[in-house]
Amino acid sequence: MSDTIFSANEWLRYSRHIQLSSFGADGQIKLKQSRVLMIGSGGLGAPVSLYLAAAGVGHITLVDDDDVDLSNLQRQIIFSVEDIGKSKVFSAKKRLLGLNPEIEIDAINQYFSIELALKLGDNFDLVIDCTDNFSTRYLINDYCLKNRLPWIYASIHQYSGQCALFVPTNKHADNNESNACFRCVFPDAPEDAQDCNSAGVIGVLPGMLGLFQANEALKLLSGLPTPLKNHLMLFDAKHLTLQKITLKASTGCLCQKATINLEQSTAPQVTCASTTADNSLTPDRFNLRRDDDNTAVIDVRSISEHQGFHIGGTHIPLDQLGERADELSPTVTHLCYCQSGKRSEKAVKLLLEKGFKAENLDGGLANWLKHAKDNNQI
Amino acid sequence: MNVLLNAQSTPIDSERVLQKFLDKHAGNGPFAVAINEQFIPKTDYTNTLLNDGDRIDVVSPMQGG
Repeated sequence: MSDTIFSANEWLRYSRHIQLSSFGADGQIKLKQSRVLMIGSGGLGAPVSLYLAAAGVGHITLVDDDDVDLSNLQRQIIFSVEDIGKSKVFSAKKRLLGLNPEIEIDAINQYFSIELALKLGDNFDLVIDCTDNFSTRYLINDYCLKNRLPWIYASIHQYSGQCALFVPTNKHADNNESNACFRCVFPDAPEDAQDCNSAGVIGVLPGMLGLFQANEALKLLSGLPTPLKNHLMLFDAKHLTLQKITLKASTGCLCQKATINLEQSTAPQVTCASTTADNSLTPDRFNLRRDDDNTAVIDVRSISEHQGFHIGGTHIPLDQLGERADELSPTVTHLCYCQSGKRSEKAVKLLLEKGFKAENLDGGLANWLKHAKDNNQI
Repeated sequence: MNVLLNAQSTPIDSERVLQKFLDKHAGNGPFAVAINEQFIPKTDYTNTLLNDGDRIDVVSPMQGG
């Protein structure tokens, strides 16, 4: 018994894979011997890690510095109410080992930085990008180019998502293969892109894109064909359309260079949080300011958001603020809020340009509610 | 002559160069372009010509996860 690769329990656990044509015991052995680096344990990371763990990927490293928040539970199905406020990677590790104690999980409660990328080295078979920001994606791209590691990209926005398998070309091989990298496809990141926090996302979407990632991962690791290699898949959950674009390397891109210097990896600077300016208010400061006689609160969100929940004030949606500015008092300071602080930041800018006095609830209603909950005010 | 731009029929004027078409129809902001599901690198925009019936996809990057 002791000279077998699998224990009796494992053999039973993975029997549906072992019976599967062109997967079989050979594929399952490859999964067991695989090492996967997963960056991000949020919306995408939840389904990807659950399915990779269930499938028997032998070693999974999770990297994320975030804690679980109540607003995550709409889509990050790996977490439960009791995980709120706790580290995502530690909570995920516990859940994954509960699902499959036969595998190893490394949980790194850190942001994926250049320093961490250098420290992690290249001892992985695959990297899976489950992050929520452009700058980390450019770093993952450069890290994988440098270490010649395949990586599976996915990102989501409202009702649609993208997914690709990037495989760095072996420059020493003579097969003339020239695969695209992420920088070939998107050499520039937008300055004002919205993330899930501000633009919203339908809860099933990270599940769908995450399972496309997990599907390609299991095929790649077990030696099955991976049609997503060097392709960008576009998925629209609203209209239920799926498209696959064939990629090619862009002349002059970083991936064409002989050596990649990770220490100099840079990405267009994009921050998810709204910028902190002199006229931004913390939740505490907002609560103090709203009690002043010379202030008025404005909710600049949509009508349905206002009807759904609000914390008082006049409701004027951002897109009507310009034409309805004459309704506002020129003498008081207008304290603007929205869901995440981005629209209200625009509202403040607009009001200041029109000569009004205005301040912004930083981080929006989401931050205000979190703060109130942390302080047992709600 | 017409092309399909993100599934919308769009007329091309006399100018068939992809760069000119994008200048007129694609707006600002970074995006990736594919013609008939083949990605066109940015460096090729000026030397790519459009044909009648081409399917052009202009894809914005997204960052959520």
